[in-house]
Amino acid sequence: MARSSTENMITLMSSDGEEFMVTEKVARECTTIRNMLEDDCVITNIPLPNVTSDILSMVIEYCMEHVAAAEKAAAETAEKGSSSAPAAAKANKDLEEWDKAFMNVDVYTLCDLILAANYLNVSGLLDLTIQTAANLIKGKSPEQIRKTFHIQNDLSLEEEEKIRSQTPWAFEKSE
Amino acid sequence: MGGPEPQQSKVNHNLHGDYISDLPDDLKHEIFLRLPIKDVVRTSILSSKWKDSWTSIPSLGFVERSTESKLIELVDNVLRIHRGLILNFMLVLKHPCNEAMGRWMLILSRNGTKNFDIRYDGDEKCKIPSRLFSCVALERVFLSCSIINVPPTFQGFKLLRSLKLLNFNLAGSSIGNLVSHCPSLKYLALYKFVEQGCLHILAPNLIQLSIYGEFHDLILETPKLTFGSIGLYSHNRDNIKSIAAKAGKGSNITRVLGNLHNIQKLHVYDDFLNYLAMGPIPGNLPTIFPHLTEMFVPLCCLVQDEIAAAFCLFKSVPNLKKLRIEFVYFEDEDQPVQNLSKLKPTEDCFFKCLETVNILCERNNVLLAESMLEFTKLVLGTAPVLQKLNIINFDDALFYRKIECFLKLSKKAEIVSVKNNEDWLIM
Repeated sequence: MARSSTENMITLMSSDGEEFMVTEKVARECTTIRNMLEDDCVITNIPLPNVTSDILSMVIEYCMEHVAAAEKAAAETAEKGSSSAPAAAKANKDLEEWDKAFMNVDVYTLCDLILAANYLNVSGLLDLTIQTAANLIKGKSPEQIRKTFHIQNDLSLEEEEKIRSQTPWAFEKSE
Repeated sequence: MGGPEPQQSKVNHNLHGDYISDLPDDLKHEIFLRLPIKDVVRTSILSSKWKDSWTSIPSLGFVERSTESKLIELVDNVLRIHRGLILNFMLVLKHPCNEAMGRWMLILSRNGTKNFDIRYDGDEKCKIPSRLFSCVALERVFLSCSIINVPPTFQGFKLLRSLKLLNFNLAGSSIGNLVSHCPSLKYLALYKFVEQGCLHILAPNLIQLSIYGEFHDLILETPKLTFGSIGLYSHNRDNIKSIAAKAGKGSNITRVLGNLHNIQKLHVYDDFLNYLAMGPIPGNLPTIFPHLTEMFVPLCCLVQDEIAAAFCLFKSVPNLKKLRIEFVYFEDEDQPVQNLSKLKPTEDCFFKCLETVNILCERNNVLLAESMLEFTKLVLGTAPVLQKLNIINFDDALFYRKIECFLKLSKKAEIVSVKNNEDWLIM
């Protein structure tokens, strides 16, 4: 997207000291940062001690894509007077495809993104990552879930048996 | 700025164990929220970190998939193990579970439940125990297909913001009485009901109202209402006439709509226009609706009073931008089709802000086509900023040729023939 040079730039600093210059509009996608900016509008440098550089760069990539999509939709609406439903539907579908491709990450990165999206309060990204995690659990056996997320089972056989007997219906093959 | 980094696998993660087990409970709950209860409970066996994670989820939802007894067993079981607040409780039922509902409600009333949602579509109605009315923390309630027993001791839902009742009978109270005991109510939807008498909605904070049912009279004390969607259903139109005969209270249109000073959208369905048309219709309403920009109106082109009521309304809506008008016709009426051309606006223009019009007719019919033509001519000739006039699902080449000859006051006005079952989406 073409960007006017007068737009405010903000520097985000990751936990490992890497600096990312982003437009204020992109930074505002993070509600946590938006609130900081509203409290003190002269901030230009924001340290984010809870987010590593590789995760922060992914969060920024997500925010930039979504800001660009929103700007494109707004520009089209302004041009044609009203938004055309099929074009809007296609743009939505494109963005969904982009989100889906963006979620092609390993489960560790996924969990880091959940934490970062929660900390920075990027509601769209939080929803996307949580839903992705849920999809990896839905309908799967405990063994499959442990394998997917590399979960070590530290329960003894007796403990497992006790848990099963408390809610036997949850462990039946089908309802 | 640093561009998107390649998304390499992070080998160092394994040193810290798996990440998902260490997510804080509120984020695990977010994941659980998107899973069926069976998947949620099954996570208890993953590891010691997961064992109790699910037992404090604030939202519980159950869908009856096999038998009533199995569902009851399952809900009882989960409620017994669950710890902490149950803010949201949802049931999708095929059987009414009448007995069990009482004990579930007792547990909910002690657990601060805010959202309560029962969707049921069986043959008999589901009895909602009066215990519901002791859940004083409720903020949102959705009940379908139920008999709701209001106890005489009901003190009101002080926090209730949204109430949606579908296919219901109230016992122990009128709808009006129930609503007036919910002073914070902002959203109210009532569908498929019969109220023998006056439906009196006293709701000082209501902003959105949807009604579709049988009632004999309507009083709206809803000064903040911005969106009203009202449909009156009657088994036959003689009912409406008998209501009219009984009413004799002056003009319904003035009385019912007169106080809706903040209304922005008004959708009228079925016989509600007929109801509004009862009593003497004033030439002008005593009030105007300055914020009203969108209207849906069904127009029976056989009934002079309905047409007069609709036009009386149009005159009071100086800023109307979007209008959806549906032409309807009843075989049993023996009156002649009214000539819309007699209803030329007396003031220079009452469609002065109108931008979009959707015109529908319920079927291709000569009489309806005639009325549609008259109306189209009127709109094209009086709406100076009209952009689009959509004719929905109507094929008649002659009709469109005639329209082409009409005078257009707005140079930008475009006439479009649309095939669409959800025409309001293009408004």
